[in-house]
Amino acid sequence: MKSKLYTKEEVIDFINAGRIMLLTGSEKALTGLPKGNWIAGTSLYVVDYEGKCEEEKIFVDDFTLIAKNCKVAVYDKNNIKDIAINGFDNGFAVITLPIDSEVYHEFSINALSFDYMFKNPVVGYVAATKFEDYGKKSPKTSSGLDGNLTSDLAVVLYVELPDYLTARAEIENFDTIDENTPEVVFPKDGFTQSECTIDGKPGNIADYFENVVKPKLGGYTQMITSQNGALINRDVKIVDLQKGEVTFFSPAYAGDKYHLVKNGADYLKMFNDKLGSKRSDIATCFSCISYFFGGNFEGRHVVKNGVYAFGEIAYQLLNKTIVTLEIDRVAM
Amino acid sequence: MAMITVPPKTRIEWTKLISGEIDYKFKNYVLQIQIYQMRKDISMGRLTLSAAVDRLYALCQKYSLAVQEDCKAIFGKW
Repeated sequence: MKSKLYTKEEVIDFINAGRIMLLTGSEKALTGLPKGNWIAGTSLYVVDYEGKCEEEKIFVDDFTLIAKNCKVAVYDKNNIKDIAINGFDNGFAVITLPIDSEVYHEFSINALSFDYMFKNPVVGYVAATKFEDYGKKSPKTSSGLDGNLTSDLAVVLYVELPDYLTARAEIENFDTIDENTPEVVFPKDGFTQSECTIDGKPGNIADYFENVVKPKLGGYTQMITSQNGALINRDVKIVDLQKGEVTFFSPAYAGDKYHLVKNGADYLKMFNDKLGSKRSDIATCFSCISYFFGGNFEGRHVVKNGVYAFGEIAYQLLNKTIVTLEIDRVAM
Repeated sequence: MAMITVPPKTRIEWTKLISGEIDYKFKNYVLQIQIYQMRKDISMGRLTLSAAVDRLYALCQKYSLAVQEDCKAIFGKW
């Protein structure tokens, strides 16, 4: 079944038919769905080949055809550490969790150290509101366990794959490291940072952004690091000059070496070229809202429909990244 | 279809990939961050080098098709 926008009536029929799905839409559209094999998160930014995001419709990622089995679970900040333990032996987990919730913070800081985290892909997105409603309205998640929308739980859909298939999570980052900018290292893990070293010398990150980056570039651009070859962005959320702190949309980890980004050129072309050239089947993809706005994706042709969010997940919380869940047929 | 394999776990290159003595960046994201995280865990005493090799080997076995080019670059022949 194609990943695209469907009416609520169609989605209810899919649920009642037992389809295994990730649902994305407005709080209104996701209210009142029957129990079943699904999880859901709020986001209004999706790209569908009909091109238009609509508050009345629901975007469906369907995994029924590849699933041998499935199960749904909900987690709070205390048990999210078990997300990978509770999966199937061969499969993947799809997660959505509300931005700024306690479970979001717990996952974001610690996910890479959860037990068995790399055994199978854990992919998904951060549920949010419309951009202009951020901070005013609560994002929501819900699941087919009871259909209730909440603002503080992570919802996870576990899909088991047959033996002849395996799932693999990949990321694309269309920006690169500007090696000509200073190397910044933070002493602790966290969304909010203050003291750091800048090219080896003690410094303050808020001061760096305000007095070095902003005058040079006209704004607060994101930071980027390489996690053993994986290019990881940290988008700036708030620069608080009074406190001398910068809060990012995903946590910076202690010891990672950050630089400023060198932005890519034509994001839409890069998206279509990169995803269009993949040899594996892409079961689903999650992309950053920055590409949606910055690349002017709405209403334009993309090779793969998907959700655009305030944070993407591929074993960890990511910013300004494309996450793809790819299915490979294995040699038996 | 021919069997797709990865080099035996006894090859020294597995250990050198973890320690950084072989500075090779896998093309696949999960291998990149698994090694990244395991190096951190080793430095903090949360993981032994031997256990790290076991985990890296297991993940490469799981994705044996996807890591073939990487393995050829690291190990040559096996």
